[in-house]
Amino acid sequence: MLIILRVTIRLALIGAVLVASIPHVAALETYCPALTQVAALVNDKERFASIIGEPRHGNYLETKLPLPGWADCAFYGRRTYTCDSLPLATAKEAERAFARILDEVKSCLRDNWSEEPSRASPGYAVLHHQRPAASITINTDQTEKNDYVVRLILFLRGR
Amino acid sequence: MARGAPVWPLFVKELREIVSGRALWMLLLLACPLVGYSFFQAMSLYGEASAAAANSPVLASGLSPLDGILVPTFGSFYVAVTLLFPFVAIRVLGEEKQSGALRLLVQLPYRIMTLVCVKLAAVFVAWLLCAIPVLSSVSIWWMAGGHLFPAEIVTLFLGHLLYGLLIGAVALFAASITESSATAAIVTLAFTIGSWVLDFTIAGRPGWLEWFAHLSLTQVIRTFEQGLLSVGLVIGVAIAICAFAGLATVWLPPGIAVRQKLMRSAVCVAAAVLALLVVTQIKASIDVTEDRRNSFALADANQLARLTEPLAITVHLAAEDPRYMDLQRNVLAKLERVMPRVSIRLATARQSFASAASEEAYGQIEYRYGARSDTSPSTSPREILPLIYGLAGVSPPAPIPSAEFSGYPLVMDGPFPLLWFLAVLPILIIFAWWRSRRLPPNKQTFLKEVAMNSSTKTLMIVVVSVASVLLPALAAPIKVDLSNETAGTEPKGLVPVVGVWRIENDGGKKLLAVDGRQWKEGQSSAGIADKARALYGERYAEFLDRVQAYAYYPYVVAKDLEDFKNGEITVRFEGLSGRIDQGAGILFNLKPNGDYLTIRANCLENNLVLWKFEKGRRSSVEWVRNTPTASRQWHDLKVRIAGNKVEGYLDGKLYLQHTLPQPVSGKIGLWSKADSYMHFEDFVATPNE
Repeated sequence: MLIILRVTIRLALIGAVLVASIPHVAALETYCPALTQVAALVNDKERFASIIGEPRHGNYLETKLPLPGWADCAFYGRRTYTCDSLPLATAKEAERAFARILDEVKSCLRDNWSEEPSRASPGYAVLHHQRPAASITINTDQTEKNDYVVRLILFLRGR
Repeated sequence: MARGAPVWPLFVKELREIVSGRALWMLLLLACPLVGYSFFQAMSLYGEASAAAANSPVLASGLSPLDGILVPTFGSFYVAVTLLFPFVAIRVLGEEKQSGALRLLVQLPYRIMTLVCVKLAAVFVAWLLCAIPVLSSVSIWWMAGGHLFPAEIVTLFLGHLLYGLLIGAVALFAASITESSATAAIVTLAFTIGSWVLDFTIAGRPGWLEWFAHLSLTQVIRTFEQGLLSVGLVIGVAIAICAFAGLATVWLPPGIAVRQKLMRSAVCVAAAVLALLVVTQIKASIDVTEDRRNSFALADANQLARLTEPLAITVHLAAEDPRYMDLQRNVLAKLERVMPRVSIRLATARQSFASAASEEAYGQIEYRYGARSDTSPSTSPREILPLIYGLAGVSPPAPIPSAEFSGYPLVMDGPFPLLWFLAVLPILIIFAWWRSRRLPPNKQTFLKEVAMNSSTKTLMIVVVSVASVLLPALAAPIKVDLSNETAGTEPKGLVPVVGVWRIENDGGKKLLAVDGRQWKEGQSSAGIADKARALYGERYAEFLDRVQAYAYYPYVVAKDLEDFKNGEITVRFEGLSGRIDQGAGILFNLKPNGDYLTIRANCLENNLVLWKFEKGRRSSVEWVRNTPTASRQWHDLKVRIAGNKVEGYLDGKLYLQHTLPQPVSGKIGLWSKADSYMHFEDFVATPNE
C-alpha cells in the first residue's frame, strides 16, 4: 500500500513537472518560427521592409509579423523590432520568465547569434549577430500599470 | 539693458588677461638681451667718440645722448614691439573670441566702444610694462652720469608710445575680424612687418613710391627720433589709432551681418581719411632738441618768420642725391617749419638719378620770393639764407647771443649694464611672472561689482555665464534652476537640440522631462537653427549638420557654460518609461562641429556606458555592466573630469574610469535616447581649476 502511495506521489510530481513545462515548449514552438523569420531579415537586402506596417504614434510602426504568444509587437523606426511578453505580476516572475525566454531565444536562433556575457547585466542579456551587425536584447521592465514584462528587441547596429 | 557698469573691474580683468598670458613675459624676456645689447653697443661707441673728443670741443659738440644712446636703444625696443607686441595685444580680444566668451562679454552693460577702449587702455599698460627694459637703460645711463634732456626723451617716448598703441589698435582690429589669435597675429604682423619692409625698400624713391613710403608705420617714429614734436603727426597717429579701434568696435559684436559691418567700416574709414586729410594741413611742430638741430639760429628764425610772401623753391636734384638729403635736412625742413608760406618742388621727382643728372640745370636750386628769383647750387644755410634775405629785400639779422651746445661726452664702461640686462632683469621678470601666476583670481570682484551696479536679473545670469566662461578657477557650482520655469514649455536655461524636452510639474516641483514617446527619429528640436546659432555663432551650420546625424539621441545643452574642462557635473534622474530605451546621460565635450561624449545610465540595461559621438558615428568607449538602475526610482549620476581623465558615478559609486586621448573641452548638457521618457533634476556643474 505504502509502495503504491510512493509511486503515485512520484508520478504526480513528474506529471506536475511535465505539465508545468508544456507552456514553455508550446510557447517556443509557437514563436520560434516567427522569430527566426524576423531574425533572418537582417540578411535581407530590404531589411525589415516586408514586415513593417502602418505608422503608430511617435516613431513606432506596426508590424505584419508579430511573435505568437507575445504582446504589442512593433517597430521603432525601421531598424528596431520589439515585442513584450504577456504581463507578469511580480518582479520575481519576470526574472524567471527572463531566464526562460533567454534560453528559448538562444535555442531558437542557434546559428549566427551568440550571447555576449560581457555586455550582460542582471535582467539584461545581449545576443550579437556579426554580419550584418545586429543585436537582440532581452530585458525586464516594469510598465506604467505596475506589472512586469520581459522585452525582446531586435535591431540593426551601426547607426 | 543699462549701460552704466563700472569700467575699473573690466579694466582689471583685461590687465589680468594680458598678465596671465605668456606673450607679455616672453616679450619682456626677449627684450632684455635685445635692448641690453643695443644699449651696450651704443654706450661703447659713445664712449669711444667721447674719448676721442676729450681734447676737441668741436668733436664734443656733436655728442648728443639723443642720437648716441637713446635712439639706438629705443630702436631695439621698436624691433621688439614690431615683432612681438601684436601677440600681447591680441590676447585681450583673441582669447575671448576663441573661447566664445566674447558673446557673453558683449551682453554685459558696457557699450562696445567702452569694451574696446578698455581693451586699448589695457594694451597701453601692457606697452608700459614692455618698456621696462628700455626705461631701465635710460635709468642706467642717467645713474652713470649721462646727460638727459627731458623734452627729448619725453618726445622720443611719446613717439614710441604712439607707435605701440597703433600696433595695439591694429592687433585689436585684426583680432576682431579673425576667428583665432593665430590668424590675428598673422594679419597684424603682415601689417607691421609689411610696413617695415615698405619703409626700407621704397623710402627715398622718386614719385608715388616716396608718398607710399610715408604710410609706413616706421615713419611715425622717425620724426620723434629727430627731436621734432609734430602736432599734425601726433593728431594723425591718434586718428589712426581711433580708426582701428573704431573698426574693432564695428567687427567685435557677433550676430551682425557682414554686409552691415562692411558698411559701417566704410563710414569709419572714410571719416578717418577725411580727418587725416585735414590733419595733413597742420604744419606746426616743436623742435624739442637741446641743440636746436631742426631750427635755424634764433635771429634767423625770427627774421624768416616775418617773411609773409610765398617762397617757391624748385630743386633740380634727384631724391636719392646726397646733396638733396643735406638740403632737405639743413634748409628745406627748417624753412618749412619757420616760414608760413613755403612750397618745395622736386623738379626731377619722376626721374631716376641717371636721367636727372644729365639735365643742364641739375644741381641748381631755384628760389622765387614774390616777383624775384635766384639760383644757387649750395645746400648750406650760410649761403641760402642771405640769398633769401636778398630776394625779400631785408638785411640779415644780427646774431642773438645764446649758449652754444657743447655736447655731452661720457666714457662709461664696466659690466653692470650687461649684467643687468642678461641676468638681473630677466630674473626679476621671471620672478614677476611666477608671482603673477600665483595671484588669486579677482574676476569674481569684477563680476560682483558689475552685478551690484546694474542689479538686474538678466545681468546676474550673464555674470554667472561670464564667470563660468572666463574663470575656470571659479569653483562655484552652477545649477540649472528650474523653479522659475513654466510647466509645459521648453526649459529656458537649457537649449533643446534634439528631442522633446519640457518642464513638468511633479507635485509642485519643477522637473525637466525628455519625452521620446511621441518623438520621431531624426526630428531635431523646434527652431534648431536659431538655437544652434545662439550656441555657436557663425559655426552653427557645421553644428546643425552633425545634429542631423545624431538625431536618434535627444539632448539639451546648458546655455551658461561655454567651455567645461575640469570639475564635476551631476544630475538626478528617474526612468518613467521607454520600450526601446530608458537612457539618462550627462553630455560633455560638445564641440562646435557637433561631436560629443556622454556617460549614460540605462534603466533597462543596468549598465553605465561612456559613448563617443564623432563624425556622425556613435561608438562605446567604456562599458560597465551590473550597475543597478531601477525604473521609477531616482538615481544620482555624476561625471568627474580632470583634463583627459573621466570618471562616471552612479548613486555615489564609482563605476567607470577612462583616460581620453585629448583633454575634455566643450559645452555640457543632458542626453537621452530614442523613446525614453525620463525626469531630470538638480543639474549642477562645478568647474575646477
